[in-house]
Amino acid sequence: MIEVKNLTKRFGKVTAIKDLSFQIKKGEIVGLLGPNGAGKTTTLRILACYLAASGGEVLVGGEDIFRDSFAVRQKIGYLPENVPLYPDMRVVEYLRFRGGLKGMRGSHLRRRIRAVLEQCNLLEKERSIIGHLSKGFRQRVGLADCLLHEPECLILDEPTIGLDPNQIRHIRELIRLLSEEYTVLISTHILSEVEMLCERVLIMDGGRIVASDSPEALVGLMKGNERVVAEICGPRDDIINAIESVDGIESLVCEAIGDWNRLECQCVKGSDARTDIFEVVSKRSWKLRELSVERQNLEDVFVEITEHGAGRRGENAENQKTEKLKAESQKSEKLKTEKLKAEKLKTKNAKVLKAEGLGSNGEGEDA
Amino acid sequence: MLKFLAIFKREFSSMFLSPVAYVTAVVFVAASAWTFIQAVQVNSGENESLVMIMMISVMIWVPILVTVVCMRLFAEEKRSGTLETLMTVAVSERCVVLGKYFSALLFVWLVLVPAVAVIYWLAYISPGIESVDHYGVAGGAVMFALVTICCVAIGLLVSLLTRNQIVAAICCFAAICTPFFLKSLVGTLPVFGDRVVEYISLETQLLGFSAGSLSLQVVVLYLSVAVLMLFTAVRILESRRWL
Repeated sequence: MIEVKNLTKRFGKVTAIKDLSFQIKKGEIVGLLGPNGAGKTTTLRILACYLAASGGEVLVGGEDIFRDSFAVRQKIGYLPENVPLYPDMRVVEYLRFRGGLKGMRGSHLRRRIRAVLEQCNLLEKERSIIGHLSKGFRQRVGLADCLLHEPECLILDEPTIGLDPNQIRHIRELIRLLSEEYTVLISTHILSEVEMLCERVLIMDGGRIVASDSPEALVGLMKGNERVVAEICGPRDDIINAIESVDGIESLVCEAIGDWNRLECQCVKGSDARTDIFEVVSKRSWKLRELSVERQNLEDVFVEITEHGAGRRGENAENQKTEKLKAESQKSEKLKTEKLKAEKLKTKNAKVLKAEGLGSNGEGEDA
Repeated sequence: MLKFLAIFKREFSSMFLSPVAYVTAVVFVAASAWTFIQAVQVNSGENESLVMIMMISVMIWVPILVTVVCMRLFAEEKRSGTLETLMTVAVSERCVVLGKYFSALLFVWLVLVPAVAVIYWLAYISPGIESVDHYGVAGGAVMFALVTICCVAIGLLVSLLTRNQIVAAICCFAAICTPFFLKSLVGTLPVFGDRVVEYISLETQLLGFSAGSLSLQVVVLYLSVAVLMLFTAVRILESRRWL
């Protein structure tokens, strides 16, 4: 549905977007994340044909936004940040005006206005003056305008910004419903919103895409260092030795809190050492008051990627992902090989011990 | 055409949705009528054309009227961000510019009609005035039409250059006043030829129109300036897609 290839936008000497490339399939709901100044709004403005790009190619529904921006503008519904509306108009007047601008008229326009008013729960507010509406309702009016001409794709720039939690929930629900019918590209700062709504996340930083995947996969990518926290009362050295020997624990840090020892254990990806730790503790009759796993969420991923400047290193998202996956697979291969080696060694030792045992028995018999 | 009408209707109705339109209209008509009556009293007993007095009385307030109407045309849209929503629907820049231009022009003409009609009201209530020079009034009306066609185009262009309405108002007023006082301002300098200044100056043309003479050269001048301003406005609006 949306295909962006090597998109670049410069404002004088400042490069807002550099070689941006991504694709959005029909029916997908994609979240665009990034810190302030990452180039999200500029990207959306280019996609909505409001700004020109300095380079690259953008296709929306197969139409080039530079060559045929009229056709593209008919295919998209764009909701800018802060939802600019005419405060002196009534809701229905505004939608009638916008319908006229979109080339709609007569019974078709009336039917569509009714439909979007219903879809956005605005029927009771249709005669209200926009300037008198709450921000949540104004947001709905903006969304109703986006849907009026039945576009194929919705581009929403921070649709929940400045709303109270109830209004955010309502708008989020509305977007969730819309995503069943439309391709949606949504820019937001609210990471939980992306986790709840989006099938895929594009994280931008410094005008580039630094990560692109489903929220779960992105969190999974960062999981490698899952941590288990345990607070155990007992002899410190024994505890450390016992817990270190538990399968799946790579390293641990122990901190004394009075009689208690707080252990933060770095685990191998995919392993859950809590059961083994519990067994170790219960076998030795130590006391246990906390045993929890610290899972990473999208916020950690976002901070990790944007704060450590993955984008600034100039790597492209796909390369990064491939490299990470490669590193992970190498790591797991290494672990498997080590395990196999350990098992072989164990078997060999057992055989040797058995042989030695048999030998000594024989010797005894001989003696 | 449908899109042009949508913009035209929205712009025209928006003027009446705020008190600005009513205040502007009432103040303009009252100010020009008061100026006219004062001028008639000052010139009583002298051989001055009533139509000429009326035209000058109205004309001195035209720059203010046009400034108030035009300053918000694009500056307000830019400030509030509605220009973004306007330009991201499938509508051409030409359509947006013309829709706004004609709505502003129609409003200015609507306000001018009662201001010019004051002369007939004065003739009706004053037994001393036997008849009104209809050709002179018609010439004056054509003059007002041409001046406002040109001035509204200038105002619209200035409004497009800034998002601040105050800046738009000051620049718009200065730009519109220039042709009014051009003769007095640069006429004495040896920079331009006398004939050029005289041709462009509104002061010179005002005299000709009030005498009932309609010069094609003047019509072409005002219309071409208006077209040039509107063409530039369309190009400026398009430029955000080139840069």
